[in-house]
Order: sequence, then structure tokens, then C-alpha cells
Amino acid sequence: MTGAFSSVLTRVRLCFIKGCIGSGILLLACLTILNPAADAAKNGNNAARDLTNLDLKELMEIEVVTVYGASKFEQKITEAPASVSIVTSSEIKRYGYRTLADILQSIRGFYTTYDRNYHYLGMRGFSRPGDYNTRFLLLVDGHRINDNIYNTAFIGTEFPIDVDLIDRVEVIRGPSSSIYGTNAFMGVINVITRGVNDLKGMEVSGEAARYDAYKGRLSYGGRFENGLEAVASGSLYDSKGQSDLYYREFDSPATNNGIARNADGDRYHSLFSTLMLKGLRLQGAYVSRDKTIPTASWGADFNNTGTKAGDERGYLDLKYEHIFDDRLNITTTLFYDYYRYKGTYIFSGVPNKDDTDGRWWGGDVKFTTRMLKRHNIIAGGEFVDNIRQDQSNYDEQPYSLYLDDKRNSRSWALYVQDEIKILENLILNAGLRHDYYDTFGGTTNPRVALIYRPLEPTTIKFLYGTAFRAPSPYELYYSDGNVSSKANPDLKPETIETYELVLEQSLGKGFRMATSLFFNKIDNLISLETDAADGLDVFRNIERLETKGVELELEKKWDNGLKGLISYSYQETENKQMDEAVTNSPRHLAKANLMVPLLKDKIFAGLEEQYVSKRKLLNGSDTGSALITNLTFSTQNFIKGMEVFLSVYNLFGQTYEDPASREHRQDAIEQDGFGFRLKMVYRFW
Amino acid sequence: MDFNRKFAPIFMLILIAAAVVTLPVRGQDRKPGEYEVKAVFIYNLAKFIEWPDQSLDNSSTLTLYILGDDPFGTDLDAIRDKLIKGKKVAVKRIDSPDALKNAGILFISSSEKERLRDILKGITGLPILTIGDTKSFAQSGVMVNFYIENSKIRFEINLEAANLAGLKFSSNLLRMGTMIAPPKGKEG
Repeated sequence: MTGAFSSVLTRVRLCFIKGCIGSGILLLACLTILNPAADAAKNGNNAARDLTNLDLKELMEIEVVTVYGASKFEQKITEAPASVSIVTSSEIKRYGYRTLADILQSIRGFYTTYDRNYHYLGMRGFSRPGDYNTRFLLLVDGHRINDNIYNTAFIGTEFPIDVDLIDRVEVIRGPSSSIYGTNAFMGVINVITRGVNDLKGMEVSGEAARYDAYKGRLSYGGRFENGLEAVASGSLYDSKGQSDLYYREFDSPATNNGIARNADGDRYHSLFSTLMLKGLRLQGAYVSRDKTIPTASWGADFNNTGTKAGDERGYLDLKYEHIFDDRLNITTTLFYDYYRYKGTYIFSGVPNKDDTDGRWWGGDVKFTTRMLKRHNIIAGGEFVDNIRQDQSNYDEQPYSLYLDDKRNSRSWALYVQDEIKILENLILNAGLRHDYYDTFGGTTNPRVALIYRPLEPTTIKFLYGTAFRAPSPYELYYSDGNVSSKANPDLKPETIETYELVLEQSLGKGFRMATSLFFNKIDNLISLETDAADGLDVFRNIERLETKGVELELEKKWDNGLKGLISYSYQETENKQMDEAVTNSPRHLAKANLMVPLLKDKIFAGLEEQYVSKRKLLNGSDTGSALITNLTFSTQNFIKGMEVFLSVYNLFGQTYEDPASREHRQDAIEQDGFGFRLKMVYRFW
Repeated sequence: MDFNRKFAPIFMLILIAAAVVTLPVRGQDRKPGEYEVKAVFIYNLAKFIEWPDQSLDNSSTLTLYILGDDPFGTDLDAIRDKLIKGKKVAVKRIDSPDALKNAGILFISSSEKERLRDILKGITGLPILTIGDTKSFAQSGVMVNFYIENSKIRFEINLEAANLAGLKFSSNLLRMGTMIAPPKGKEG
């Protein structure tokens, strides 16, 4: 044991050194690139002069950033009633992000956990082992992605949208139940897809990565004479995964000495399309993913490639927007959603199946009006009809049925939000939403933000809000026939109350700073526990958590295209019930991103450093800290229409682990070492 | 072990501090705000526009009027006193379009939505370039209307309105903007 421990220690030390080297390169790169710029500065150019020297075409290339997801209308980030981060398509490209999880991992205060089945998202010290990202609301162009059985926010390869189709990702921190209802608990992630202005014809993409991973994509976008705008895309992905995965917990001759062979495969196919005509938009998305599970979770047989998860998610979303007279705007949406989960677990050679079938439809109406001077009011209503929330569990051969739970439910909600310009530099944003569920009843959630701009470059936000998360059918009704778990239909929603102070400061010379001080109080947290009376696992509203922390972010953009972003967050999360630190909650998170144009508009280098401090495990010990370096080189305009990307992930091959949830015998799951990817995109326009 | 774990975050902090201290003094930097860019946009746009003969002759300045709540603030300083068509740019904030008698540029703030029609009526026929950045302003008769797409600034052009005022837009400008209600017989 001590031997293993000291080897971990050596690795940590090695990683630290490697990290130093990586960061050294980063700093060096900064300084080298900056030297010529420093000369230019001596010539007396100032920021304003530079802009006026640009011509119209160049001005049209400058990005100014707005956010939609915070208030359900486009607004400046500094006026949004939340702390907001944006990741743009160019960042996704330049840093070589492969999945939504990669993208989110780069954001201040966020961290992800991977158990070789799904990716789990954590923010501000909160990521419960075993939670399927239910405390985050995930939207694609405003459409809710969380399913109606587990409420999963899919962020790994099972996310329906190919990351190549993303125009930008808006991350809205803090509770937004006041406009979005359930799941908008820790934060909201709104993914906005590329439109026909960015996709003007056929585009093909192919990529190859370590572990025999291949992806292909074909996309088309066009505007037709009758005004129709169409985007359609399809993707195929196939990864063999790591051929040998070693887990010391299974290191015995009976279980192949702890080696799971060829049990890490991951494949998906996905389709996406958007059609727009006048105010009408029809969007459809579909993904089907199969992942082999190498960790023998839930007590499945080790080193058996039959244990796997299959996720299928699809939706159709019809939206109509009507603008009456500049001051009144009505949007109506009608949607149909589908989710199917098929899990196979081999227990002592017998396949046990989870078959979950979720179907729901619903609609909403939203009014946006500026009819009253200084007021920007949105009001709306929503309803959802869950026509199927079915879960079943059975052994196939010999057939034995353990669970056959068929449910349906309905919910509706009404909300209103008013943005009041009290003074030219003082905005009050207040929202309230009432949700009604036929399972547990009603809940009302407010959000209040006071946004003050004492000076042109300074924005101060005071934010208060509450949010809830409705218990999912999985938590309410799942049981495996009382063999190891039982249902609890009496669950109530869990709640969160947050206070946040945000300071956004533009420091001039292209410098921007954001700091945030936050306090979160979570009550009635739904957690899995073992009932002492019968030894069965059951979900209960038991825990009370408190988190306090601070975040700091610095961003800088230079004229020559160089961009740097550094963030640090410190948080303490405590379980008030037990008076102890919680699992999978790092105290420190630090990130550094640097985008360097090596050849103007043609070749770029994107360097990324991500630090996560130690995280407590379920057994009371902890994972080590990790400092990961990713590096991507990309070219565009070198050959007309072609883009080439070469990415290296975990450049120094650091060995690090993520905390495991209780269905694993492992306390922590080792993550991928050194990896690479080569990608090419060609556009025919 | 503790040594390393403690050091990693400290190291990152040093990195942050280093960046803060060393980076800003080096290099010429720019992180333009939305209206900083729009201000320069207006200046650049004007270069592509021909005012009717003699309409600019009487004055040594070309005035940019801001009507309604001013979203620019100090951002207009960047273009003040710069030259357009040999005229110095002056900036004037006004509450009512009645103040407009001469040729110039009029930016209509979104706060004026409700009385946009009256405003435009009041200046009919005057050689004034009207600019806005509010949804549907171009359809209502504003000549150039900014909008944001994929985080970048774009603009719509209402050429009919420009023609009525006797302003000529260069073909380069027309190519870069999105045409709203193009004149008959021509392709947008």
C-alpha cells in the first residue's frame, strides 16, 4: 500500500514538474509574441486609434459578445442577471475541444468527472457522485435536453449535437428556476448552433485520434430563393477505446488480473437539422450512442464486454416567432421528445437489462414587451406532458422480471421577469416562476439582480435566487425488485438558495477582469443512502450542503490576435448534516488558456492548462491533484477552404484519477494519459 | 506530497500574477466594446456614402446627432474631430429631431422606438444618414441598421430610404450589408 502510495507521490511530483514546463512554455510564448507588439506600442498607437484604422471588413470580423440564455432575450453580458461565460466556435476549434464536456471543463469554476461511461459536470464545488448532471439545465437553441426519466444533461459523446455545429456555448452560473424551472439549479448551459451565415454550403470533416477513434461529419447549410434557410448535418463516431484497462480492485487471477480487455468502446451516430422560413423554425436532432462499460459497475462481471449502455435521444422542436410592432414579440413552441436507455449488465454470466422509455411533448408561449418605458418584460407559460416514463429491469435468459414501472405525469408553469432601468446605469432584474407538478405539487422561485454600473468600465451585480429540482422518475420509482435498491415515491424537490456578488471590470488595454463571491445553500438534497433496516439503497431528501467561494478571471486580447484567459476559483463545500467535507469537491480550480497566432489568420497554437486540486473519495481518502496540459495547432486559409487541426491532450501523460460513485468497486477511476487527434475540415464554398 | 499539492495552486497563482504584471505593459492592446466598434463603424460607413451636391458645403463639420438614450458614452471620442469628406466630425446629443435642419448623420437610439415613425417623418427629404441598432428599424425606414450575428456586427441597408434622402451608397457598402426592401429591377 505504501509502495503504491509513494509511486503516486512520485507521479504527482513528476506531473508538477511537467506542469511547470508547460506553464513555462505558456509564459515564454506570451513574452516572445509580445515583443514585436511592444515595439508597435512605442510608436504611440493607442487603443482607440487602432480601431479607427480598421476598415469595414475588419470591423465586421470583431467579436462583441451577447448572451441569450440568462433572460431569454439577447442582452449584453454585463447586463445579464447572472455571472456568464461564453465559449465561441473559434475557441472550440483552436483548443481542440472534442465534446461538450471538454468545452465546459475549460470554464471558470467548472470541472468534469468521467467514469468511462458518462461525463459528469461539477461547478463551484458541487458534483455528487452518481448524479447524472441533473443539477444543470442543458439547452440546445433554447430546447431542453435533460430527459424525463433521469433528467440527465448529456455532455459526453451522447450529447446530440456534434461540437463542430456549435456556434457558441453560454454558461449561466447560479439558479435560473425563475425562468426555466426544474434543473436550472447550479447553472444553465445554452448551446447555440451554427446558422446559414456560417454554413454556406457543404462541409466535410474527418478526424482520427488515439485508441482507434474516428469521426466523420457531413454538413450542409444554404439559403434558398423563397427565403428558406436550411442546415442539415450527420456524424459518425467510432472509438475502440483503451484495449487494456487495469483496475487494482479486480487484480486476481479469477478476474483477468484486473485487466479489462477491449471493454472501452464508444460509438455514436447523430443527425441534426434546422429549417427556417420567415418566423417559423423547425429543428430536429437525434443521437444514438453505445458505450461498453469496462469498470464492472453495479457488481457486474469484470472483463466482460457484454456490459454496456445504450442511449438514444431525439427531439423535434417547432418554434414560431411573431413580431407585432417593435414593442411586442410573441414566441410559441411545440415540441416532441424521445429518450431511450438500454443498459446491459452481465451478472454471473446472466445478462440483466435496464430498459427505459421516455416520451414527452409540450409547448410554451412567451411574450416579450417593451411597451412600458424603461421596462423590458417577458412573461410566459409552459406545459409538459410526459406520456411515457417507463422503467423496466429484467434478466433475459432465463427470463425474470424485476421491475416494470409505467408512469406518466404532467407539469405546467407560469413565469414573469421584468428588467427595469431605474437609472441609466442601474438595472433591476426581477423574475418569478411558479411550477406545478402532479407528483409533488407546486413550487415558486424568484431571482433578483441589481446591476449597477458606477463607471463606464465597471459593472457590479448583486444576485439572489432560489431554484428547485424535481425528483426524477428514476429517483422516485426505480428498484431492482428490492434486491439491492428500492423506490421512494414520497421524494420532495431539493432546493438551493444562492447569494452572489459579481464585479466585472474592464481594465483598459484589452484587459478584462471578473470576480465573483458566492454562497450557496442546498436543502433536501436527494441522495442515495442505504436503509439500515433492510440494507437496500434508496433515494432520500437528506443532505444539507453549504458552499462558499470566490472566483477570479482575467482575460486579455491583443491586436495581433493573441488571446489569454486565466481563472482561479476557491470553494469550500460542507455537509451541514454530518459537518464534514463533501466528496468530489475540489477546493482549488485553476485554468489558463492561451491562443497564439503563429502566422496571422493562418496558423494558430492553442495551449491550455487545467488544474484541479485533490478531491475527496467516498471511502474518505482522496484523489491527488492534477495539472493537465492540452495543446492544439490549427491552420485555416492555408489551402482555400481547408482547415487542419493537430491536438495533443494530456501532453505530459499525467496519471490522474476522478472520484468514482458508489456503483463502482473502484474508489477512483483512472483517466486517459497522453492522447492526440488529427482533424481536417473542408468546405465547398 | 502535501508540498506538491500546495505548490500547484500557488504556482498557478504566480502564473496569474506574472500575467497581470508583465502582460499589460507590453504590447498594444484592444478589447473593443460593442459601441466602441459601432462608433468606428459609423465613421467608416460614412466614407462610402455620397451626400447630395452642396449639402455639406456650408459647414466645416459633419455632425453626428445622437437621438435618445446615448449608448455610446465616451466611445464616440475615438471618431470626434476625425475627417469625413474633408469635414471634421462633431457629436451632438439631441432630444428631439426638430433640431435637425442640415445634412448630417443621425443615430436613433432604441429608446426612440415608439416615436420612430414621427422622427423619420420629421426629416423626410433632408440629406441625413439615419442609423439605428434596433430590430425592425430598417424595415421602418432607417437607412443603416446594425445587428449582431454570431457575436459580430452586421448591418441592414434600406436603400429606398437612402434614395429618398438623396444619399448614394457605394456598391462596396451594399455588398457588405444585408439589403432590406431592395428597389425593383435590381438584385439584392
